[in-house]
Amino acid sequence: MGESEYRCWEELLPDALELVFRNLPLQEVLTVVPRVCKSWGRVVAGPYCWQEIDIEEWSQQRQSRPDQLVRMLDLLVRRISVSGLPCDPLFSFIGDHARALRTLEIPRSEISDAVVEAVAPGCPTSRSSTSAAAPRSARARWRRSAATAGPWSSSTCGAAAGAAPAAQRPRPGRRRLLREQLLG
Amino acid sequence: MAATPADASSSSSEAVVGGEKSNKMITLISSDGESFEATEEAAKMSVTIKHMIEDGCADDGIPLPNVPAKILSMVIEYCNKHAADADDTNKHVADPADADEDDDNNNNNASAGEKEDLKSFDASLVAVDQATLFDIILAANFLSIKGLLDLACQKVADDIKDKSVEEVREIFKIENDFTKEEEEAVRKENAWAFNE
Repeated sequence: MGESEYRCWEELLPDALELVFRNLPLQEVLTVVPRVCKSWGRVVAGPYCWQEIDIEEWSQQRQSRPDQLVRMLDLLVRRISVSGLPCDPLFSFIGDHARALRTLEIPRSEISDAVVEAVAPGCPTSRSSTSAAAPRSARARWRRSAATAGPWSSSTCGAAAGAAPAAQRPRPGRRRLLREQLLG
Repeated sequence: MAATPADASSSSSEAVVGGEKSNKMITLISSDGESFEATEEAAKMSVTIKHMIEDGCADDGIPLPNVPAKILSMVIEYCNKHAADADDTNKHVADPADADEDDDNNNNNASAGEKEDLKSFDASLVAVDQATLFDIILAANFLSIKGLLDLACQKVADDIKDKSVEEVREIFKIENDFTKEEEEAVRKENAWAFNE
């Protein structure tokens, strides 16, 4: 027959691999797929595998480990931010729900200043300032962060307690899916 | 290997292009030169073919140089089954960009029994060796058949789920191109998430 049983799964179209990985649970996409081979690792690191991630079960098992919850959210936001996908709704969601969040750094993100200002008051341990210059310094920090691809470290989540524009609600669709799953 | 018989009972409205009726048969030619017939309705489940039909390129048969006969016959089987299930052409995905998030958008008017029938058909279609599954994915991607592409990719995901790294490499015959150090670094990177 001459038909080979071999197919180059490493080299399957990234679009198709993304479709495969999107259907996998959290454990597989974090601990199995990246280790299979380098090309799969590259694909699964891309943002399109992370647009609908269910961490409800995972987070429920880690209620006593808020540091891990924060780290997971950091990872998720970072994945989605890599290619500049808009993440305002996700950021405001994090601010709404990550009460223990102390710091968050998102290099190369496209988070609007308005969202940072809206979210900051909700982070109880964030530095607060009534100075009008505070929002600008928050912006400046974000821009500096954008220039460097840092490790997991964080910088203070916003600095403007004074500014209080209407908080942005996550847009409907995938972000709400994630939020509703976490809320149970 | 035989061509799938045409489903002549088409309940869909007439196609607009050239005044041709939608139960017109379309000839599809595999990469190895075999000809298959499909109803226009079934063929149009492929957005790629749909565009070619609408552009008037389909009269002498549509050559599909990327799709071997074995795979093409499976693809046509899928299209026949799902086209017959959809009530009218409005249910078909017009364009991947407009695609509904709902996987079952072809089944909206199917009864529960028909849905079960369709599910088991789908399951048996992709219960194939990994090489055939790979080829189905390529064909579904090339032909822009969203339902089939989703189905095949979900099957691959099911084959990966709950497997170890070594098992996945074995199933898909993937060579480990990491050095020991590199692989260990990757393992450590996310181990925190699932270590107690």
